[in-house]
Amino acid sequence: MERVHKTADRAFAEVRHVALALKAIDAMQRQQRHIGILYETDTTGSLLMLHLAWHLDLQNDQPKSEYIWVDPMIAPARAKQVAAFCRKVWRQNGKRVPYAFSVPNDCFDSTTGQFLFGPSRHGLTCATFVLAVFQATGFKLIDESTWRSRPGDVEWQQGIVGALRLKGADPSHVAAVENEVGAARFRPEDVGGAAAHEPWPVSFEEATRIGNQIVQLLNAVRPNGSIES
Amino acid sequence: MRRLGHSPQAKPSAATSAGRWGSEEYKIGDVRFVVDPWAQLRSRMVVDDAISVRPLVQHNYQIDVPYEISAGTICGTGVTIVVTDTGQAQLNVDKENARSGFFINEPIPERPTGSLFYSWPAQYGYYVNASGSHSEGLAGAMSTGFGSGASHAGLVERARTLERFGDSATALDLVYDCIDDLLYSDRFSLVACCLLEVEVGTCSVDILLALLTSTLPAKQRIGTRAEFTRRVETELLRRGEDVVQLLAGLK
Repeated sequence: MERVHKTADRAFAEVRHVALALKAIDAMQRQQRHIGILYETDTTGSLLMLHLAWHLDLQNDQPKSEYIWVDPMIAPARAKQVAAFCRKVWRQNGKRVPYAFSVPNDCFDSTTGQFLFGPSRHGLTCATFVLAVFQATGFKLIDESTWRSRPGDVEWQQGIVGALRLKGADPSHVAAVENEVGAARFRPEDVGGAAAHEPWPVSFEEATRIGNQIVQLLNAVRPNGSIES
Repeated sequence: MRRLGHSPQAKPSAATSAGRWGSEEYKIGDVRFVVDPWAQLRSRMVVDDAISVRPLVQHNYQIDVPYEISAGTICGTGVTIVVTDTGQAQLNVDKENARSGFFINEPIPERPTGSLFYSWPAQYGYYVNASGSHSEGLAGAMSTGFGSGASHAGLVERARTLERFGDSATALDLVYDCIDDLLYSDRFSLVACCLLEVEVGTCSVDILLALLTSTLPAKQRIGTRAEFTRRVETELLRRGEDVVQLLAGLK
């Protein structure tokens, strides 16, 4: 956990080119986590957070102090490339990245950085978006072959399908996402745990072990970034 | 290719300041050019023997090229203007490379005053290269279009120039966008040429890694990438860099 930081201890200003940011949220009547990528927007060191908030709602905004951040073990010169790719993804897609449970492999067009639709790719979650960006820049954070289903995964996915339907998403997209129910679920804390660990790719056991510690930390973080005593 | 005109050699002038886009003046070699973000169109087209560049609309620059400029080369994506040492300016637009939307004014109009103007996204920047040999090289390539590799040389050169101005983030954006532009139009062989021609010893680690990262998803279709990777590895070793960390996942 030495690579996991609260903003009260280490401000975002200490991010070296790229990092992951996580926070706890209440969504669909349950506690869950959200994750995105902090990245440098230019040479002044200013940071934005690129994160998939919801269906066709990729966001690129200022990170808030309620987030904790994970400093991935990446050489600065490589971290700059991840930041450049984040800028590219935002330029190419704007908000229009769909939400679904597709595996985060080869999700971005090899040439344009645009989200790639295909027979097996309908969209990403906030967590798989992060995995996809890192994979596109040469970093495979998790070993998918070790991934297991956990209690609550299917229920969560079914809840997403219902929410998409309720929000008026395209029926064909909803149907495609519904077909993906049962796919491996990579939770935000798993991805944060994997990023905090090395070497990559990280197994299910290691990622979830650190992920659980991250959840405990997140549950204690106040909105100002400090910890409840 | 259009010939803009002929004028006496411009006299060298001293640099006054340098910096990011909002700066007043730049000087590279013997060529000085002026960034004038607030000038009205054409109101400050010629400043001595300089080229005036100004933002036209959001994210775009317009560049006016007067007769009276000294030798140099100006590159935008898909666009090259070569000013020879005799004062002649030649302009080429590669419409295949210059994807739609890059230009506000297309076709490029010929101005009665002898200026041409065009625009490209500001993030790509621009540069003036006063090196006669480079200009000749580009001019030669232009006669047969960009397929001979001129744009590739321009890409790396522009990225290096942006780095010299301290704008390394934009330099990387330029590499990613230009490589993507080529791959997007299935011009894998051009990317292969680009990698083949890169002088790795002159490039920063950032640019080398940008070339490797931007071509990673298409590595199976770029025949020279493996060789380029080996050259980069050798160069990084020569510089004493941690090759294992820097190239992890990129081969």
